[in-house]
Amino acid sequence: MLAQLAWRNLWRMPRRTIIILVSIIIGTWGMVFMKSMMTGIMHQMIDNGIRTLTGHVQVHKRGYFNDPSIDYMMADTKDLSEMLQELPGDVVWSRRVKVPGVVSNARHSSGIVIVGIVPEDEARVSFIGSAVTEGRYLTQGDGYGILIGESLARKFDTQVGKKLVLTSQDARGNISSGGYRIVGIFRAELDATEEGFAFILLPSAQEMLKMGDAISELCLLGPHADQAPRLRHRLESRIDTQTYEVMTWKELMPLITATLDIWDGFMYIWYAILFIAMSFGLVNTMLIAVYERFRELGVLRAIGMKSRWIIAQISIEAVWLLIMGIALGDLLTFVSVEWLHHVGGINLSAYAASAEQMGFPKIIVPLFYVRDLSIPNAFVLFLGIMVNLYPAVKAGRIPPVEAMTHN
Amino acid sequence: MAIVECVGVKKTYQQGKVAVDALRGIDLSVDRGEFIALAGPSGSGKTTVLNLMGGLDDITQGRIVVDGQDITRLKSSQLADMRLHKIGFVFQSYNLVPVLSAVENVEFVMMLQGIPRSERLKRSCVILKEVGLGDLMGRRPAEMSGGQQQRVAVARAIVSEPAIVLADEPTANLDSKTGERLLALMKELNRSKGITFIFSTHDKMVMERAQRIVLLRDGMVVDTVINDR
Repeated sequence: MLAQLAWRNLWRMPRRTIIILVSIIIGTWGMVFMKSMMTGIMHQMIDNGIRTLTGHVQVHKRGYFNDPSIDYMMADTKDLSEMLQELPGDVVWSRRVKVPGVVSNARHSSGIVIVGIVPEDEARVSFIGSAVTEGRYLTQGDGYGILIGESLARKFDTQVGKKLVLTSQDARGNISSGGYRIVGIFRAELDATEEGFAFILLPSAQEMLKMGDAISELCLLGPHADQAPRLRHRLESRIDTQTYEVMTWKELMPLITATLDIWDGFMYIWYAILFIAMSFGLVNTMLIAVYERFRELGVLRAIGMKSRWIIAQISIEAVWLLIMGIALGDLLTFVSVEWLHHVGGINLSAYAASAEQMGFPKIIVPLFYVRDLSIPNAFVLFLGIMVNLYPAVKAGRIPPVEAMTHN
Repeated sequence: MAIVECVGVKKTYQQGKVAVDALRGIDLSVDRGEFIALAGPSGSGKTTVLNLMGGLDDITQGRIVVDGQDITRLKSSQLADMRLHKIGFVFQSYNLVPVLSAVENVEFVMMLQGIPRSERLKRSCVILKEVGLGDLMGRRPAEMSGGQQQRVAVARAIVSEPAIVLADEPTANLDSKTGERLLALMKELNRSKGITFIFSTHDKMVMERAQRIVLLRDGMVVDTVINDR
């Protein structure tokens, strides 16, 4: 009956109830929608990072991560091959040579990472297999073929069919170079990727760098990023960890990992700011409601309603408001996210340069997980009840005689 | 046997820096089943006596015993319990909960007493029929006349069969015909259920029906009239 009474009390002044309800809806939407945006951005950043050659797990010779030079190559041994063959069927991998070098043509030169790949393996592990927008992807017969990014092609004023020269230090410490013809141009999420990587065949890279059958890294992709630690343990149990190091994407992309942690903290600050704004409205509304019903609450006390029942009644009114506001705020978030999915996300390409510096994708597509509702919803509900205790306790302390003479 | 006993009751209000003596030593005993009126001019202390008997206000000096219990020693929550179980209130301006229907207003007190819903509903319907509102149970206060609202207030006051009903000028806002009907109803409830009724009133009609009229002036009992009618 108290719940029913509280519900009816709310609708005594519908306009006021609607105004405070709207503020709770907007507050909840602000929290959950921002969380969805952050989740979307983080998901895209992680996905971009993983697809841009990072994978879920990498195996290197110990020392390569800090100094990715030709000095830390690893022999493509039989043990390594056997270990890979024993992995579950949903884990794919790619062997690579990855060394810093210089790309040049007649007019331009630029620092670059030379990546030697096995085309069919690499296509399953990273973005490059589906990123070619001009020309074609590398095939086993492209001994002197090279793939470069759109930005680099623009910068070098070059195109498919033209030649480029790659130069790097070889395994003997000498400078080696080779001429390669552009077979394809790829597009990546970030301009830095398009300008920073050039792909050639693994045997071509090994030949140019005089490194025999050695490789720089082994990149593995499992069914899900969350399973990376398990995959790492499995690999570590099979290889000599004194010689090799196995790293997950979180260790390989420390900047993104740190960003995720900072954003998590930022979200709580954002929740707190929104909640403080919302709580002023809530407390003010409930205080007005209490003062408007001052006489009535006094009468209730006179007929035997104890303070704690009055506190409960006012609290239930706040809980109704909060539950309605939270539910509608969640619904509004769901509708906003669905709409943004429908229109293809928020296009930041006009600000791409600055966005890219921050590691943001060009198009932000928010991601809404039901589990992401729990913290902001609990935050609003719990703290909403807490701040409402002030008007509720005030109502519970109304002296009956004073209230009944109140006009 | 006395159901309410006031001994040397004094009440002083502080109005700013001025102390106002509302009651200057009231001695009054009300027997179980009495139908008694406290009469007197405005400011004589009628409502203050009722408020103190109902434990709504703090006493300055003296002692009030209700149904064998010295209420001046009770804590706020114990007073609320006492009001809930032993006292029914009828106010001058009805004071029903506007968002509850007639039957819900009557049910409300029993809900606070922890009586199950089916029992509450049954008793509320019976009592509303007794006060002549059997066909208006679902109406909210705003949809009823003053007399009908006051009858709901009477039903609310007596539904849990309290020992005492304290009625503060219950007919003041009613026309004479409605007031008379309400008084007849309360007199009948007093007779049939043995509930003690204590009124504060200016109304001659109430005084005519009271068994005893206690006249107050300036916070003191100045006379007591036993009504022969």
